[in-house]
Amino acid sequence: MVYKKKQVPYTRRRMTQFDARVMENREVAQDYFEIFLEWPAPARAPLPGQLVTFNVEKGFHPFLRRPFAFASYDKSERLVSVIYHRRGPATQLISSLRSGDTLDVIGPRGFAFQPPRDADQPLLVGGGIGTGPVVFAANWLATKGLHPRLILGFRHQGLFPALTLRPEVELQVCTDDGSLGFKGNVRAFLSTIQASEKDNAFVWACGPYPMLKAVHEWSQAEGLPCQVSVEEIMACGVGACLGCAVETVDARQMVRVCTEGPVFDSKVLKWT
Amino acid sequence: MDINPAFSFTLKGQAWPGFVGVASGTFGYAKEYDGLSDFTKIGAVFTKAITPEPRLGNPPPRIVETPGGMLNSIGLANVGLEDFIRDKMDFLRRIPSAVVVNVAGALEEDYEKVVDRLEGVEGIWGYEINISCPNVRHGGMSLGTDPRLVEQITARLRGRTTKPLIVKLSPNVTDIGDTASAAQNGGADAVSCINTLVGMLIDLKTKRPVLPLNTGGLSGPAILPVALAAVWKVSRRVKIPVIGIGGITRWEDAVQHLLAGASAVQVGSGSFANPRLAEEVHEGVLEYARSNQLKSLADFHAMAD
Repeated sequence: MVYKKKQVPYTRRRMTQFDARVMENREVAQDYFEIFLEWPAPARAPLPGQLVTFNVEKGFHPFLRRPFAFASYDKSERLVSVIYHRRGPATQLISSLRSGDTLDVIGPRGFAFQPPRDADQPLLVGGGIGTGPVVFAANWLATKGLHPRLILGFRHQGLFPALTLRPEVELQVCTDDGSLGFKGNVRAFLSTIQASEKDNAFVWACGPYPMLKAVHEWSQAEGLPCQVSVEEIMACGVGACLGCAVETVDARQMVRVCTEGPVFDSKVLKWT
Repeated sequence: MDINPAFSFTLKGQAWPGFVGVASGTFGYAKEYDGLSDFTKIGAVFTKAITPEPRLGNPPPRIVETPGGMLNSIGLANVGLEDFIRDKMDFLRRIPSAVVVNVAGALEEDYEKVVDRLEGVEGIWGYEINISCPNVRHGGMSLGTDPRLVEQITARLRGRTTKPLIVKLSPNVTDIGDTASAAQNGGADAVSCINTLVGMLIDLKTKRPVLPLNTGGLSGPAILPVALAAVWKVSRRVKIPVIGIGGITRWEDAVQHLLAGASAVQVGSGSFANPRLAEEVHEGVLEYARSNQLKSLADFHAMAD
C-alpha cells in the first residue's frame, strides 16, 4: 500500500500551555505556600479538582513537570492559585518565585469533582496538601447556592493555612494534637457527625492516601456517595506516558490520574 | 508547509516532513498532544508499542525521577492492535507527521501478527521493532541482547513488509555494534539508537527498590553521552542510517547526535517537560545548519574520526 497522508491544515488550537505571570507567592502555613498566577482569557477556566502542571526548571533537574491542584479561581481578576508544600527541590524553586516572574504552565487538565444530582449537602474533607482543591470546591459549591461543610485536618495549628472562604462555607478544623479545633483526625471527627447532618450528604475528599481510604470506608458504611482526588507520580501530565495509572476494582482496567482523574468515584479505585 | 528535502529523513523513497521524531512511549498515540504540539514540525510520531492484545502494564508507581532523568516501568501498556487501528489511527492519519508503529510482543509470532495486520491499514509510514521487551520463549530475556535473535526477528519481519523497517537497539548489551550489524544483516532499513538503560533507585524508608519490578528504563538528559557514544559506534559499524535517540532536551543535543553520525533524531522523555521540544529541536538544528553552511543532514557527517 502506498504511503500517503491527507493534507489537512493543522493549527494549534486551545491555549493550554503558556507562561503565566506570578502575581503573589506567600507562605500560608509552616512550609505551605499559596502561589497566585495570572490566568489570561484564552485559557480555559479551571474547575475544583482539576490539575495544572509546572515546568519548574528548564535545565536538567528537577527534570519533570510537577502536577498541582487548583486552590482557587477568580474569574473577574483572571487569577488562579495553588497551595503547595515546600518539601523537595521543585517546590523549593517554586517558593523562590516572586511577583512578575513567569512559570510555564499546562492546564487545566483532568476531571473535576462532579456534583451529584440527588444530594445537596456537601461534606468536603481535606488534609495537608489536599487542602487546596477542597477549599476551591467549597467556595465553588457556595456560589451554586449550597452550604458546604468543610472539614480540614492538620497535625497541629501551625500547619493550618490562612484561607479565604465564602460565608456559606462552614469550616471545621481538626488537629491531631488538639491545638486548634477538634482534637483528632478527620476520620474521628466524621464519627461525631449526627445522622440528621448526613441527610442528602455527599462526600468529596483530597489528602494523604490513608485519609482518603478512611473517608472512603466511612462513606461506604454510611451509604454516602464519595469522590476522591488522588495523587500519583506523573511524567507528562497529559495522558501520554501512562506513568500515573492506578488500579481499579476491575482487574482488567487501570485509570490515568492525570486524564481519567484526578477525581474518581471512590468505589472505582482499588484500595490497598 | 515548507519542507526542505535535504532535511527530510527518507527511507525507501518515503520522506518524513522533517528529521525529528517523537519517541515511542513518550507521545502516546499523538492525540494526547493535540493542542500542545505543532505536528507540522514533527517529522514522525513513533507510537506507543503495539502488541496483538491489549496490555494493562505494570503496577504503580511506574515513574521515578532521577538526577537529570527518570526511570519508567510502564510495562508495554497499550490498547492492543485492533483498538489501535479502530480508535487511534484516525487522528494519526490527519497529522502531517509520518506514522511509525512501534511493534512489540512476548513471542516472535506477536510481532508478525502486528505487522501483518497493519500492512492493510492506510497511513502507516513504517515500523520500529522493539527488541527490548521480555521474550517468553527465551526465558524472559529480550531478543535485543542476542545478535542471532535480532537478525532472525528482523529477517522474519522483513519478509512480511516492504515498508521501512527500523530496529530499536538496546544499550544494555556488551557491544551495540554487534546488534546493529545483526539488524542490518536481517534486512533492517535503519536502526534507532538507543532505547533506555536499565536502572534502579532504592527507597531509604522501605529499604526496597522504588519501582515494584525493581528496575526500570533510564531516560532523560543523563543518558545523552551514552547515546552519543552508541550512535558514534553504530554509525561506523553499519551502512544503514542511524536514528539518534537518547538524552535530547535541547536542539544542541540533537546537533551532537547528527554530528556523531545520526541521520535523524527522536526526542523522548524531554517532551514530558516540554511538549514543544520536537519543534524547538527542528528549528534549532535548521538554524545551526544555516549558520554553519551545512546544506543537508548528510553534511553533518563530514567530520573525520
